Amino acid sequence: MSWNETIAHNVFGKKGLYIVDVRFTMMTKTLVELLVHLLKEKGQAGVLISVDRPYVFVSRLMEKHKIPAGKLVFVDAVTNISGEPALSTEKLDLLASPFCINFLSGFTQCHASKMAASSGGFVLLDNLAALLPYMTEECIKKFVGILQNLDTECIIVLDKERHRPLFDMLSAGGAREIAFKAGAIAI
Amino acid sequence: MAQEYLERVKSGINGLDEMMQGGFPFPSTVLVAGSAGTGKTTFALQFLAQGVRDGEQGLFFTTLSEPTQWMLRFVTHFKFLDKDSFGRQIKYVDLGPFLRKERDPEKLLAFIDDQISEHMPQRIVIDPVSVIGGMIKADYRMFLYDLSTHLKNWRAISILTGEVLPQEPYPVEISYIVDSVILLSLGLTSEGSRRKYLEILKMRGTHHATGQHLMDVSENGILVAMGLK
Repeated sequence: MSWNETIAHNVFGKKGLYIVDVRFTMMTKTLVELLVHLLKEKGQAGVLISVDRPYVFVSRLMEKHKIPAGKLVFVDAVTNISGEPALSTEKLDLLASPFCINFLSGFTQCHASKMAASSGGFVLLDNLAALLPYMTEECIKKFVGILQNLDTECIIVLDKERHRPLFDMLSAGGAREIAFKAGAIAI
Repeated sequence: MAQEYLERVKSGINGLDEMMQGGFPFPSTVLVAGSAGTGKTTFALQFLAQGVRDGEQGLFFTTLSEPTQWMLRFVTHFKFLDKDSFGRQIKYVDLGPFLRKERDPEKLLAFIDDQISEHMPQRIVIDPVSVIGGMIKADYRMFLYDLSTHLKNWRAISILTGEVLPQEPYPVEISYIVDSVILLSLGLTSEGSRRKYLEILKMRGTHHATGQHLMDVSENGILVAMGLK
């Protein structure tokens, strides 16, 4: 599905698992553009699962590019092993490490259920491939299964060419691919 | 699942990628150290030019090396660099004025963070990083540690150039913090002429070539002849 079709059919807003395929070097820019679209343009609530870097770096990007953060909750699995300080905020769940798959799943499910019970929202994962050093294939499959069964849309940014087995796993579970080119959304 | 978790980007330096499993690990920090005239800035520019060809954004921080006007006059003769990319795909930030007024490492890091968050580069250069040590008041190593961590968390591949005196191998404090160390040096041949050499001293997560390899610098940039010593 192209990005234009995604916008035209309001795909984001429908429950399901979506893969946004971008080159690994463009993940940060893509993440920011997606947050602009979801938080600023659509005004949705959301959960950002941060397993690739401390959430504070995404928070700074949002502040710099004037993306409203009031409706976003961070579930962060990296800060406690990064050396970066965590600012105290009620919109942040900190895990001890990315190894804590059960807590990661639990917090995500909890927030997704709250969003589904109100006006809906999104879950955005930054990023699935970053879990590879910490989890077995079985564990990742289990985590993806949990994301697939959330009552909200779940967006995974992934470099399909670089991580074909992950992409195939997601596709086999019914995830829909969205063709996206960084720069598609004006920041 | 693949066991190779590291993603790699092309260096842009002819002959170098073959020495390091296809490119620099991404994200990572790379120290390119050498004395005057060994090609550090040329290396950094060639690296950014590769990023332009790959559709990536570059951010070039200069410290107290040379002002923009002079740097641009000299680099535009290189064929590998598209002059139009400066100011667009390659943003240039002169840290000199900031360093003259402000010596607080936290404020310097915050300024660098601010520029990175604005431009969201995939490739960053700080040229040279070594002069900062003499200028900031607080612990230099702590600053380098924070800088290196931040650069990687911004998801970029960063080249930090380090000036050394001819008898000094590399800036020691920086070498412990970064993921990779590449040395550029000048040596004398048996005929008495000076030649340039490149050596990969360290590169985390990479099976890399070792030893000094002959390199040449022309208007086409740096060319490394792996195996020629």
